[in-house]
Amino acid sequence: MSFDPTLIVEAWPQLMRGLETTVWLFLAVMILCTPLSLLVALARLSRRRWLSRAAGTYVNVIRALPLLVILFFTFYGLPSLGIFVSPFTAALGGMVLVTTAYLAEDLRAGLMAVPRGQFEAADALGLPQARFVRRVLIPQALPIMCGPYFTRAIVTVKATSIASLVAVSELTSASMAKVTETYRAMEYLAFAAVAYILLSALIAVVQAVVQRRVRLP
Amino acid sequence: MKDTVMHPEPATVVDHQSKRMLELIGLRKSFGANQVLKGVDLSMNQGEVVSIIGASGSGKSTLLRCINWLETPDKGSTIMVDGRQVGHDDPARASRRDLARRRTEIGMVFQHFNLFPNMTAIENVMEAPLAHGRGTKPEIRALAEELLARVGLSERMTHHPSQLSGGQQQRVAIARALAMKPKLMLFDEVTSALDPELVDEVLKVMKGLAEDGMTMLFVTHEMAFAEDVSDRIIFMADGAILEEGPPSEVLRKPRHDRTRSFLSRAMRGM
Repeated sequence: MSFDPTLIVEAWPQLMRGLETTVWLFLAVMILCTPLSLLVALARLSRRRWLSRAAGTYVNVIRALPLLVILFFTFYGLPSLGIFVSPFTAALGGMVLVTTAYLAEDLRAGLMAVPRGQFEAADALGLPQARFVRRVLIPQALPIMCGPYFTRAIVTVKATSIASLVAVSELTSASMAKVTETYRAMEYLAFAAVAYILLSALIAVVQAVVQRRVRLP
Repeated sequence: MKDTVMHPEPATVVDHQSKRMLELIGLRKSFGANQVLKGVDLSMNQGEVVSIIGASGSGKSTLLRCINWLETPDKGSTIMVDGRQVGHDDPARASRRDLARRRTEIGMVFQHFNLFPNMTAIENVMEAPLAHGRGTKPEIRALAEELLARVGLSERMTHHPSQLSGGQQQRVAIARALAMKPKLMLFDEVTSALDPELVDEVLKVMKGLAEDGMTMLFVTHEMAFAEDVSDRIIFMADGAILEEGPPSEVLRKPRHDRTRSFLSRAMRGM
């Protein structure tokens, strides 16, 4: 069996639509998860017991569940409760739920790496908590968070492929549709593989740029 | 009218001199079963300079850190600054907001400086006054410039802490604490982390503050400095004050054996 690149060219519009959906799903997940996970991480570190417990419970329950099971919940489960959403929205909801839990732990580690002396100095100056978080804690945690954050982004871009199992026509789904249609696997899967590699590479480039910008002087 | 201007009331001056700035009553602090402070009573008048000495583990740093509630004192301890209680006899009832406000009256300088590394020297100094709305930004900037000039760092205002020596960082930290115009300054072994050749520049700044009438409480291992600037020396052992008095007595004619043996070790080579 030979490798026929013209097959990819012929299927280009479909494959690109799949890639586009993957990119949108990924971006939507990250845009929603970033602030949410920061809030969950701060909640876990809060002095208010009920708040840190609630955040801890959320993280521990959600990260114990397979992403696929959660996507089945949002895809098949919500309609049975009378809530009807598009496959894309169902996948987005499920992925936000899961990624927020993981990302919250990544960010919490970054927040906890800020030396205790910084908290004490802020306390001794009577800095209000919100200002301390914004002006002192987050700027110092950012350089530490960068690596885990972008690693999580790469994991997430690949995890969007699971959305293919809940009827989202993203990159994997579009490629597999062509595979079943033509019985030619290598060409379409190669396209998908290269596309995922390029997306990850792009994320790595963004990471390098961001890392330079948030570096402490 | 003219008469009153010509004769300021002497009584006011005397009151001012003897104003109680700090009062600790029965200060206790335990970490689990380990009681680190065993009921310390201490008072300081305005403008007074007091140094606490003692072996490590004697509770001197904890004492300092209880004053601004960086460590929560045990129930029943009373801390008064400028005649008003800091926190609450019952720690569970101390309000965070009230504590934050009272802490602005108490400047603190740490052994490891604890400057904010993401800010320049002048931003470090401006941060607390900005947070508390102590004037417009230009006013606060002018104040910060003045304070940095006072600690001899006019040339280094836009440097980040990582670009400053330990001695310079500690002087920025002093300026930062002064920016809130505190009534009382606490210094927790502020020269212990410095290279020996950088110690003097920091001591000089603190001596200047003492001469300007700032009420200051030191925890220090610098015996010569303590003797030089202090009105009173306190020797602590096992979480209690064992001996206190003017430097000439405590350092030169200690009454207790433990003070004597501590001093003979601490003052070696002095």
